[in-house]
Amino acid sequence: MISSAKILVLCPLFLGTLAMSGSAQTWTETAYAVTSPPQDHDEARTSFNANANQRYQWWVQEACHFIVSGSATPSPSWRLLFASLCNNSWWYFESFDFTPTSHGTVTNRVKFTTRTGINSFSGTNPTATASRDLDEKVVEDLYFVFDPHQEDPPGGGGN
Amino acid sequence: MPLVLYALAFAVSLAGQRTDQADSVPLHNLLLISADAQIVERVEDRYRYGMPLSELTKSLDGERFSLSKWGSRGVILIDRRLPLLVEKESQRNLVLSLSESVGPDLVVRVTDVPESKRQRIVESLEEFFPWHGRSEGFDMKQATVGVDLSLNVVLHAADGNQKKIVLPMLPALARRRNAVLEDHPMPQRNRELSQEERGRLARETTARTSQLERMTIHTFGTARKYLPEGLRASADTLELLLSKLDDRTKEAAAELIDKLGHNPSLRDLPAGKVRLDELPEELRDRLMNQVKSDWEFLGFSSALDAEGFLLDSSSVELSMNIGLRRTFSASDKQTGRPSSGMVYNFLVIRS
Repeated sequence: MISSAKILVLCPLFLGTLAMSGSAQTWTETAYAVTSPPQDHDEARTSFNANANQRYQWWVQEACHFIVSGSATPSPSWRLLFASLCNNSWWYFESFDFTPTSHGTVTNRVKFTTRTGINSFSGTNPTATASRDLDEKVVEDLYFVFDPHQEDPPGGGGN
Repeated sequence: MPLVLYALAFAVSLAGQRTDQADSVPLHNLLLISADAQIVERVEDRYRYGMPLSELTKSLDGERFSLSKWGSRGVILIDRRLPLLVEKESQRNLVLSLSESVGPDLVVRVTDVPESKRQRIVESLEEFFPWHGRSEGFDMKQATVGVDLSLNVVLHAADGNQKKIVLPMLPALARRRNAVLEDHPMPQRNRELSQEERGRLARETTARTSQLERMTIHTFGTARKYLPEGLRASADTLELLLSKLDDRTKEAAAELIDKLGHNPSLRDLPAGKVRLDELPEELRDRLMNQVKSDWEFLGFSSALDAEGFLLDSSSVELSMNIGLRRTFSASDKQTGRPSSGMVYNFLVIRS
């Protein structure tokens, strides 16, 4: 999972590199503040019917992202590069293998958390501040649910 | 003795006489439903045309049969070990075993389950998550699994269209459960089944299904002449037995759900079709969020469409899934890899 901890590591390293490559100005991350409560999701994806004894193999993928956008202050010169580095999205793949012993339905599901926040920095020499809006989607669990057919069948021999 | 007690004793005595009289009436028609050849043979041995019912019942194991009167001179015996009934009882036993074994984090550690309950859980794991116990060397007695609860909500539109939404329940506990299960993964197999294994799996599944469906009807005395009437009466009795077992399983499930701290309790969920505004507000809100999240899966063109369908639905119908969760692989914080797993829903409880 990409977490705020990783963001905290990533960004100062990059900023430090930028600071050493010309400008004397140095930047320090001061806060990563989540601006609204993280939202947990558990959503359904594709589903299919499964028959007893048959081996099923399939894969599912889910997009994650970590996006930086906007700024509450005038941009430092490295703003575009910083955004380019941090505007990131990628896919997770998971493959499944299942041989059911009864007829049923398979539904893929994904658990993920979304959160938004502000990543802020302070600069010295000269003194300045900068901040970025962060938008994250972190996938935590890819799983499938098997429901054996338990619904009431139509009565009277299928009438 | 006060007069009222005399009257009561007299009534009891009369009732007893009536039962005795019924039991002494010659038994002309006997209909037996069983899947066990030995039981059929035993009844064949004991039954004589015109024998009193009491004589027959004395010679048979009373616990084994459900007995119901059929007309004035007939009786229907249903073997309580019919696979159909045994399966229902077995489901209830699993729920009871889980109820005793599950921790507050929804986790069931099979090694910690008392010996008397362990076998039932292990058998279920072998059935739900096949081929790990035998072909991959995974010992189900060492397994760690989790209980999973979800709510099925069927939305009925006025035009007859309907959509089924699944609402995962106890999300905070499920997160704790998954964290524990990640330390005890049950990996997927990483090889093809051999021809022999595939054949064995097919045979076992077919045998289990076929056994479940097996039920034979036997007539004794003159019962054959009244077969259509006898079958109708047998069906009513069987339906009653199944319904009683369902009620007992539902009661066991309600206790499990209460133990896990689920709110609302299964007993508080509205039965049958109800209007959306009859659901608890928190449930309505969660349902709205889920419908909007799952709009694509549900076949809507947008989240707004999905929301509209929910708000316009003429009724909703609820049932609860009880399942077991296993984890295939743990998450990896370094690479951002999520965990993976599966849930097998073994029971649907209708409110």
